[in-house]
Amino acid sequence: MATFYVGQEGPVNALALNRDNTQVAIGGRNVFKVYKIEEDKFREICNLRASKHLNLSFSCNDVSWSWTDDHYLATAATNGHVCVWNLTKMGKAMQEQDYQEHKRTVNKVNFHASEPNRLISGSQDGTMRYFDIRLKNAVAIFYSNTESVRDVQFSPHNPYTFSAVSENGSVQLWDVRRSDKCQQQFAAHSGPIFACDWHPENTWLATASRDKTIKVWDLTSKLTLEYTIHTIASIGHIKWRPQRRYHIASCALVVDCSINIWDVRRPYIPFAAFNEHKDIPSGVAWKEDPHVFLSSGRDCTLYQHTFDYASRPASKANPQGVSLNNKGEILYAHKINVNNAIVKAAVGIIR
Amino acid sequence: MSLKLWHQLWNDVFAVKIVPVQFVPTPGTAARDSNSSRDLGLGGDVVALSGAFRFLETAFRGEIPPRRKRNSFCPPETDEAQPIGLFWIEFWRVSEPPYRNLTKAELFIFGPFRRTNNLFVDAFLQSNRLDHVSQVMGYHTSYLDHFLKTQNFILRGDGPLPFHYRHYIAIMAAGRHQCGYLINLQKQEFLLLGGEHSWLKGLSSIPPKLKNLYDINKILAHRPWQLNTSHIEKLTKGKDSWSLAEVIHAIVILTHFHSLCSFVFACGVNQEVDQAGGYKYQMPGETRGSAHPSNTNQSNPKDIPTVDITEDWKNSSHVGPPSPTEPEVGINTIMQRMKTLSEQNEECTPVELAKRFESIETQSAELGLVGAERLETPADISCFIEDGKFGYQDFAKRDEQFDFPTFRVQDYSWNDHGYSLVNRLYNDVGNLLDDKFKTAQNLTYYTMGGRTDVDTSRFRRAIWNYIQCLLGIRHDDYDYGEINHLLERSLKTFIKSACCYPERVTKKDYDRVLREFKHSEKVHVNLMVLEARMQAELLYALRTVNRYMTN
Repeated sequence: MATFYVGQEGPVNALALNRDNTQVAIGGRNVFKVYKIEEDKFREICNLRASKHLNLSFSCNDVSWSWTDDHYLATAATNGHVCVWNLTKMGKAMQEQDYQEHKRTVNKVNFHASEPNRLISGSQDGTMRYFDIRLKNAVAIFYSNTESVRDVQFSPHNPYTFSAVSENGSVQLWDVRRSDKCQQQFAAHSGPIFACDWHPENTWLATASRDKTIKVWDLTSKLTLEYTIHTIASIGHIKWRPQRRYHIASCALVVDCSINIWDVRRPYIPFAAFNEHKDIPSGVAWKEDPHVFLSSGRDCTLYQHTFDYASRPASKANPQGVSLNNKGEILYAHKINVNNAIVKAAVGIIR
Repeated sequence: MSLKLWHQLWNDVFAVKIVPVQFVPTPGTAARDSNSSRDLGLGGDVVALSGAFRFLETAFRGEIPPRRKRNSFCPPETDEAQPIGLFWIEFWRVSEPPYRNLTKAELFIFGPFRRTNNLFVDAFLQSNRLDHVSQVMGYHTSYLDHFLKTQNFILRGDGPLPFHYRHYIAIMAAGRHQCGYLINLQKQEFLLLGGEHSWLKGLSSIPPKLKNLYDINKILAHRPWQLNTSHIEKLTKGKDSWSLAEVIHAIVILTHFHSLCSFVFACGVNQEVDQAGGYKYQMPGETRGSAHPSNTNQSNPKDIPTVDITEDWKNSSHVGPPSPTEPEVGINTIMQRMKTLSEQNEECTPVELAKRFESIETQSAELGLVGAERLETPADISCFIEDGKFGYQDFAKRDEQFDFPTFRVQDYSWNDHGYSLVNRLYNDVGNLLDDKFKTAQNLTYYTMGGRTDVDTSRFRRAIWNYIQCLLGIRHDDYDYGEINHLLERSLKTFIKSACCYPERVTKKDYDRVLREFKHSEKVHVNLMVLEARMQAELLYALRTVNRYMTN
């Protein structure tokens, strides 16, 4: 399998795969398209901006594809609208719903993984809204009491739970049936949190922040901070790698144009990096296969990457180690070029 | 507080006041070059002055009356306002009975006591003077705190640029708006830090490296949307090149001082005591009219008219009859409109919204301005200006509509991108700026004029977005129609003038707008002009640097 990409008219803000990973939807200020993913290229099957009635509702911050019904897409618009699109229809009729309930930019939309027609959104106005896409209005409103909600994600482990992260650095866990108050809230970062992602198997929640860390929280009974990854730039997006318990992908918000895959147990150097994007990547979506994923970028591209082409920063690092004993002696070890004479001498010492 | 203590304080202050107070290095800031301060004939009175400050501080700390029960809507900082101005109402009026004086001068100097006082002490220790800007900002203690921290950091904290460079860059920035007040303050700092006298002759005498910055200075000050990667490239490549960190540092200083000019003019801040045009101590019996600078061969900066400030401030609380041409919308009306706006759930098509944004832009282009264009600039200011004709151009009327599209905040925002970039390249200044922006944006005491428990968020948001709209920045999620509902024409004119043509604004204009509002609220509006403008300039600059780095 090869790496391939397709260029766009403008920066891409988000992407979403359909249920069986055969198609991908991408959205941005000037981009809103659906592609079929073929063996070695993307084939455009629908351009939703072809409509004559373009407006700000078409400029997306986020895209989500329904898990239960392949015909439905939802978008979060910069002007505060949440739109639902029916891909089986044509022209203006495609836009089945246009919820104008949020007062500020909507940062995130997500379809429920098992409950059909259910959709949640998180907005700059500090609220989350739960929609039934057959109804004209939100069925529930959740007030986070923070300035703004940056990401909302349904838990894969409990159909009623979702997490929300906000610009004041706190994480909230909500029950969709209880809009009066959140189940749990904790301060996770010292700056705005831009993204969160549930681990597909463990009850772990990863959060990524402007404070240049990714943190992994264990939410079983007692809340514990399991791992902290230190990145070189603010992180805007994270996604766990399927079938690899300790791996997570991250995209920076500025400065760092590569997509990094981290092993959470090795928090200072990425396990693998993908350097194809020329500007910052805005989103990552894994196909079920842990070796293949798609990414969108501010450099106006949509990529499919495979692990065969990953660079391995860790392998380029100089292995060395330092340790101190209780007598104040320092032990320092580093790699040297192998030279027979030295090896022999070393063997002699050990004897 | 006992009357006896007041008298004692007054006597002390009086004693302090007759020594030359200004730019006296204190032991606390010994980092300064001792030679240069000797050159200026300073020193000596240090202990007297800072000692008096310490005395005041301790005296007050012991004697603060119990706090009045807090209004539940008041943030903790705004409880009991105390008259605290006596040691910075400089020199004048000491001869009259103190308590009565205080009520007359309270305009400048009401504030929550402890914090403001401590901040003033800090400000004094930082720059060896308590400048008028800090005093005016003292209305908003929480903001002043962040302002002083930031200003101190960018001028005196760790950073890539040499110290005298920083002050010279500040001079260049203030020059764009012919702000003699800031130029003079920065000149002194520049010299104290060992800057060469000859540089102050003007732009022709400075090293080419500094000179190269001028283009960016000019563009950022007036038409930030014209900044592009080639400007950054020119600066960072070739001979006398700048590192990216230095560029960012310079940009932060430039934008800080551009927008500070807006604040200085819009509040009608007076010259410092030691500056030409500053007021001077009057002996009892001396007539007010003689309060003019004695040094006549120095040009008298026009920006701040040397009116008798005592009278001026005294009268400004009950300014004469409203001018017949611009009937002002009262606070009640504004409150009513805010209420209607929050009640109506008007669904408006996005096309309509886009139109409203454009119409605000176009209307703003048609607005008149306060004041007249300056005919001539005094020589001691004009030497720091190059291409003085280059000025603001209405964004709606820009020549190259296609080259400079509207800046969408949703595509490059301070929170997501600007902060991260500036923090990366220049030691965590992002945190300071972030706090400052947030404080300015969220500051509210839930009051308007005399009314309490008012949700002012719509009014504040309208002002903030209007300022950024003037510079071509659009918030996708804002209905610009609200601006016309909440900001009446005279306020828009004032804001536009303060933001884009600050040099034309005078104290009179400050008095004319928002007549029903309190001084602290008017200063608040001016703070928002400062911050919204600075953020806008920074966004343009940082986006450009970002583009330069990724290309």
